[in-house]
Amino acid sequence: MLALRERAGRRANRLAMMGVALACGGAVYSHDVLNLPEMIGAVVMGGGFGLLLVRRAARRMLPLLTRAAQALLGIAAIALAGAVWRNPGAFGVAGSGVAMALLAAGVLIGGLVALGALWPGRIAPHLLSSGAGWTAALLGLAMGNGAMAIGGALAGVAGLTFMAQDRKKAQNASGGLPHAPGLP
Amino acid sequence: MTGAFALLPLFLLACLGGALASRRAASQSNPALGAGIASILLVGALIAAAETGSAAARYLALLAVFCASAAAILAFGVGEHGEDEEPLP
Repeated sequence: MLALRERAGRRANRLAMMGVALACGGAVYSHDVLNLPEMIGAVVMGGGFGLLLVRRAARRMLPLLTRAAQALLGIAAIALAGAVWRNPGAFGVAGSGVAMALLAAGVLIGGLVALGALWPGRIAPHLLSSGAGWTAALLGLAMGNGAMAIGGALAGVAGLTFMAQDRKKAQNASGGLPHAPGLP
Repeated sequence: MTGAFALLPLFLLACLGGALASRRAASQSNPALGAGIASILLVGALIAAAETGSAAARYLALLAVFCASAAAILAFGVGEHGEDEEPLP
């Protein structure tokens, strides 16, 4: 929330990072954790991998890194849905058709996001971000986690709105002419 | 934990709030949006990894934690690099 208030800049980015760290700490603290070393190891390894890519990358590679992050989000969503599917008793989804349908929809959209991010053609980055947000929202609904459902819905709608804004700007830049086949 | 139907009103309110909030925001904030989604998925993956279940469930959740934390750092890093860019004259 503080990062949103700052709107932009490095300070906002750092505040957002602190917020993420606090949220992760709260999520771990509120559950009985038995495999904490494995979880910390996975976070450190994933964070180190991401840091290595970001530190070594040139500025012209930034769009590629954004797509890599979106592909990783899709894979994370699929793995998360698989984990919930393999452990249904812990999240109360055992025998619930609605929860299983939400999980299946999350896997489908997460897979599309990962494929779209790795696809060589140009797919709007906001559409991929929106897809990842909707995936998080669906998985949150299936797991009964309100924070995930709310955050995912916010991000999903924001991605769609940004995409509409970009399309409007592009249309204004082209003089309001509609796209037609055969025109340069 | 509550069911999916109990969360539906909150979900719809969040959709409305997202539409209102993003209308004023700049559309260049894609890395920030990616970082936000990564952090949401990271929290969910941590919760899934914390629950003890079968070995397959645990390793899938740890894979989700790995991917989500890498995506979060990548998205935050892209945001930091973007801030370094000098404005055009």
